[in-house]
Amino acid sequence: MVVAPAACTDTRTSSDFDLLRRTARRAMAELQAERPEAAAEVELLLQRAEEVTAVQMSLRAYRREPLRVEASWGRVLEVAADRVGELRRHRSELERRYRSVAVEVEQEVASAKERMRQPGMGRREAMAMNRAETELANARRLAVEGDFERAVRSAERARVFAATPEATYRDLMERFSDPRMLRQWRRWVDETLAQSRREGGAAIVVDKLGRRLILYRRGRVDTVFTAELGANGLRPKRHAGDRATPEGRYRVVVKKHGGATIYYKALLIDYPNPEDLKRYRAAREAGAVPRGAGVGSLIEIHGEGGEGRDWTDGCVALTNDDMDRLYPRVTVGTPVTIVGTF
Amino acid sequence: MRARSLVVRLLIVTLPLVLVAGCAKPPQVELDKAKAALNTAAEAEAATYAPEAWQAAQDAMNAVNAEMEVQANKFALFRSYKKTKELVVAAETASTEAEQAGRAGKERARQEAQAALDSVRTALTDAQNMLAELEKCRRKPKGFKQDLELLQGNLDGLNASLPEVESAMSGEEFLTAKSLAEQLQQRVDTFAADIAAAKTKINC
Repeated sequence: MVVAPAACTDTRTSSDFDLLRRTARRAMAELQAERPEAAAEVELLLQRAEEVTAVQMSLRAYRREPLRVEASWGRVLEVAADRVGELRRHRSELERRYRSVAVEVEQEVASAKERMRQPGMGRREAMAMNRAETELANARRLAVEGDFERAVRSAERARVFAATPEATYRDLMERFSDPRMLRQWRRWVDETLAQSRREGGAAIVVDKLGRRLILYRRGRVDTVFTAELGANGLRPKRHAGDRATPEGRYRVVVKKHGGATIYYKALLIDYPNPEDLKRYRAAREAGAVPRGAGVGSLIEIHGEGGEGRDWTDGCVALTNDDMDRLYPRVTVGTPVTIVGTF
Repeated sequence: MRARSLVVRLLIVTLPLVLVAGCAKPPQVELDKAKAALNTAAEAEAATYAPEAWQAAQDAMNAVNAEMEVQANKFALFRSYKKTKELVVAAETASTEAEQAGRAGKERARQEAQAALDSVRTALTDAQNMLAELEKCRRKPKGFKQDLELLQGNLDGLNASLPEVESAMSGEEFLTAKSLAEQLQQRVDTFAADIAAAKTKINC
């Protein structure tokens, strides 16, 4: 009895082998960038399968062992599928991690961008914000390209840069909830109102955080105006040129209008007072004052406001209409108390 | 006489066999040349810059290896390396082409990346000059100093992104360098447009 050899049933054509070859090559292309050693492994198996196939095809049909060909190509596909599967699982995990980080970082960058609208943000914060936005854009591009590992790193760097404006904002706002500062400001306001009641006259209180200028008469609220501060107005004033609005108890010393001021109408106050000078000297000794910078002067309440933002060099700005209402109701000597908040 | 005719008969039978066996040597020298050519193509980064040519070279070398295996599995006297030699020549040619395509592709990528880098450097210098002009404007609206400071900070940030592009160039990652340069260019162009708009707004 003659048993027909298995070789006689081998029906693979060259296009079948082309398909197997292409499958292996696709796997190698996918593995090459991130797993070159796995790509090389598949390449070696492919070479071996090609050799086995070539040898088998060169034999007479009755001598062939198709199972050897099957086995060698089977091994190629098995290893290729296994390595590609491993890579894709790793990528899925990275993608999951990126998506989670990206949501957080997008929010943090958006929040930092919102902080940049606040006064007190300077060149350093603007640079950090720019770097944050660049890194976030990089992260998005890398994610689209499927490089989630580098996308995560870019997103983390964006987070670090976005932290700078956040930290500046936090430092800026911290003092407005400091109980010691609140007590001091409250005490100044109370003393100012007591004086207004005692003297029966006007008094001005500027609430920096609330952007309000309040005119009191005999210790009671008369009118509330919207105020605009220095570009760094929320900070306490340390020296000339810092564009901060000072905090303390002052008085109107000069009233200006017409050609005497470029700001429509102005009320000059007696900054610096003795406490300001004391603070300035201490800061200078501590090296916190730039070389050549004095304590500052010419702090006024003046017109030409209405910009919707803090913009002055430290003065308090009202609209011209509001200055028209305020100006006639104060005199030289009217107390002006400027506080963080109360 | 009988011995002599026996020797002649033996020679007639064995000589062809000896001749055939003598022709059946693998073309080792040519094979080594072809492998060296494939390595050279790899060093020329053909896989990155000429992937199709690289794949063709790999397939050609695989065909050589396969044919070598076929012949190795035959009885020595029946081996013939004529086809192998043809395949080796084809493999060496494919590798050489892959190497040339790789070098050409890399050079093209280098030139494109360099052009993108030069363009963004010029754009950054122009943006700095525009900002300097803005600073000199006679009309200085409220908050001008603050706005200038923020703009300068923005420009600082853009300038700080340049070293990453330069690092990719010096590391010969030309595709990455080009992509980064183009991305930075977009941001610089937007920044320049903002400054131009600011100048127009204040009639500078």
